[in-house]
Amino acid sequence: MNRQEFIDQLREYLKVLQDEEQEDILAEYSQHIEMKMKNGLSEEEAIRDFGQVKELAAEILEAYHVSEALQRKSFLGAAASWLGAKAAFVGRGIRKACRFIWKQICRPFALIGRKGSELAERLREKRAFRQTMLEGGAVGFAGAADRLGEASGVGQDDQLRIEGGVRMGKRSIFERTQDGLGRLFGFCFRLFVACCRLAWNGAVICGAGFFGLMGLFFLFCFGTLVVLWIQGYPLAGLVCGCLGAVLCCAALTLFGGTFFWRKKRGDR
Amino acid sequence: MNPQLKKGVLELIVLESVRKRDMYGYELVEEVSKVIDVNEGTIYPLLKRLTNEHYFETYLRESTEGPPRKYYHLTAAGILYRDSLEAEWMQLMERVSAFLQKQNGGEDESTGVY
Repeated sequence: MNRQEFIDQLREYLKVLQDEEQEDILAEYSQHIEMKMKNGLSEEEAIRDFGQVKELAAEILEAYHVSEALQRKSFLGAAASWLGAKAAFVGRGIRKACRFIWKQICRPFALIGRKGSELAERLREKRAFRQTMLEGGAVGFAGAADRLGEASGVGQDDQLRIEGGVRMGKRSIFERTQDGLGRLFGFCFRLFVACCRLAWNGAVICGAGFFGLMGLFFLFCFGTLVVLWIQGYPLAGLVCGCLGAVLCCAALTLFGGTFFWRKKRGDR
Repeated sequence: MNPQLKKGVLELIVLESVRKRDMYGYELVEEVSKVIDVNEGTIYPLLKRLTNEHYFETYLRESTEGPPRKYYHLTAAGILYRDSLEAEWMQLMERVSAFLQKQNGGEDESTGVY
């Protein structure tokens, strides 16, 4: 068997490989035989050293496929566990940082809220105080008017009563408007919050939905690529990429879901 | 020598050979053949695989005789891999030799008793 025959036979066995790879490896063997011949061996001897062409081809194919796949798998496993550990660490760090930032953001609001509730408490106390004073005053006033009526006749008494009634009416109107305004303000505020919530949730749903659709798309791509990969196309990298994209989209969708603004049960 | 045993250490020998200086295929095969008797044809697939796994980089360099030669250069990943293989090899060797020694020692004792 001369060199050309050997190369041709080997090429037959390596048909499954890509043309580039075939040429690459065949060139190495060709060169090897050449060097052997230059060192004084005959062509026959040099080729005989390779042993059976079939066995050699099997060895080459094994190096290309089986052991490579195994190697990659173990490497992937190691990489995945390493990445997982790192991601967990980074995730903990991010969560801590987020909590800290959130606390910093919330602090002024909490302060305002506390001050507001204190103010409201004080106002309520004041109003209650005024109410009791007013009631006491009215009683006193009524008593005085009675005494006055007894003393100076019905006319004055009536006038005074009317005056007191007007004054009481005025106060009640003022308070009623205040109350109504407060209620209106509360209603407006609630409406505003509801609108905000609607807009926010719409945005969140749009974002999460977008990523969800992307995820489905990538899942579809992933399935197709897996089938092609199994059929022997060199798509391992793309399959991994697609799987990554699917996971990424799913994670983003779920992450978006956590931003969903739910109405609190105790709000109303 | 047992071909399975050879196969296991072949990678380490190939990586170690290229560590000091870049070599082309035939040179490398000769170097490895000095250490263990191996079918020369089997080294090329191994080189190919190690290249695919980025333990080797290859480049072409003109030679005074014949076509340009493909040289293999050990990458940083290759060096790390070589080191890990070496550590594994050392550990394996130690354990196996310790085990063999222990077994042999035990046999001697038992023969002494009986």
